[in-house]
Amino acid sequence: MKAWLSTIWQTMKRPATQISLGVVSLGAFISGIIFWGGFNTALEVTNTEEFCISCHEMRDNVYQELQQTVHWSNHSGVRATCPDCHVPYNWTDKIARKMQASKEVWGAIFGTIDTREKFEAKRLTLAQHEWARFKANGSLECKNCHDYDSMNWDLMSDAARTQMKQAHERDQSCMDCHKGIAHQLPKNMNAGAGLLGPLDQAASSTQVSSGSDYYNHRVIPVYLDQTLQDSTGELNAGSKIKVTQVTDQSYEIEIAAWRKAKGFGRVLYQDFGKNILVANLDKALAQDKKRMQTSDTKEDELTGLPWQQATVKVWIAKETLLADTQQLWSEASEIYNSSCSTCHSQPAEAHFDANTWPGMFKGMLSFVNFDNDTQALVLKYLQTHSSDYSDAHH
Amino acid sequence: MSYNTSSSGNDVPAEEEKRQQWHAFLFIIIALFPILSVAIVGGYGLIIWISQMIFGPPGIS
Repeated sequence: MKAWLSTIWQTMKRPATQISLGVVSLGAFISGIIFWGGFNTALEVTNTEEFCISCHEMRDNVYQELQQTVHWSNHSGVRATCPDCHVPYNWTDKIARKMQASKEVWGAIFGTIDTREKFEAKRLTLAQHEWARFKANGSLECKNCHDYDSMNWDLMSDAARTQMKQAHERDQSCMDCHKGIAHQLPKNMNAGAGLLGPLDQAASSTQVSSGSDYYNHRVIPVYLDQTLQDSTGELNAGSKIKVTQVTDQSYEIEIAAWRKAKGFGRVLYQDFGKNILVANLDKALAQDKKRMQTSDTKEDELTGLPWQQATVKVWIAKETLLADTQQLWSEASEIYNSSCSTCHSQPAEAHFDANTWPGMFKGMLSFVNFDNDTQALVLKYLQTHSSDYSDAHH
Repeated sequence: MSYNTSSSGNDVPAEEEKRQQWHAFLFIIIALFPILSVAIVGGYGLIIWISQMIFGPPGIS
């Protein structure tokens, strides 16, 4: 072996004396062409739909979902295949993606997502990889076919035209708004492991002791006693409460709030005259004079309605509280900033007062994908940082 | 017999030298350079991939 290598090396070092220059050049030229052609053909084979769906994980999951969308079948018959969107066109990025595909080869061999359940569990993570890629390059793969300059505004609906013209002005990344255009959105996209995931994690490790104040980050049911059997209302996200007892499976909390002294008094508000929701209680509890401690009434001049302070003790499940508002508001602020700035720069929190925010917020909800808890938390964030509570207002 | 001497004094007969050179030529164009190309391009791709993990996905170009 060593002798053979040595001979080869010695021969390579020297000019060819027994083979003509013409033969050497021609041979090298032709074999170069054959190699490059072969290399690229092999590379392009991995860029075809047939190749992608040769793995059952792709064929049985995302490929099926694609077939329900406009990118599969539409009036013009122009369709997109897997590589059109998922393989970068630029050669350098394409080669990098091919090397990254070693991760997918590993997955195929070791069955990382080889069942429907495993795939669904990872769907959000995989989707987020792609969304990050589209966000970074401004949805370049979409724009390879969909050119803003070629869009015919007259053929669009009024709603579409308004949005798309703005997007055109900004050369906006298509994925900012059109997530889920080709495959199903993750079910828990904005719940659970989605936007509030970090807060769930923090809440599961908060040390809770009696006598201290805490904050909940989700809308949670409240119960009459420690067995958590009789639900008696809901505590709104981002509310400040005091824990008064800790048992194995639950916490007793004290909610100190305001309510209108007219009607059943089921709704608890954070502050006098402010439509900042703290809790909704059942009628029975709200009218239970023994459990509800109330103060004298005070009239709100704006509405003429009498308000009173109301304090009540209820029970909640564990792992639902945070020790302070730092992470709570910083997560809410991040959600607000990223979700509410895709079409226009978001208003400053203190731009409106607390009672104006609910109307503004609800008018915008159809433009984002928030689940119930996220909606509640972001609204609470906006209200508690509104001009009523902030010096920086105009 | 016709010997060929090269600068490092490797004395082989012409037929042997011819055999060696064809051998080396074919080895280079069929095995060595193709494998080297795949390795270099693959390595290049790997470096880009690692850098994308550090600096994020490719931006707007």
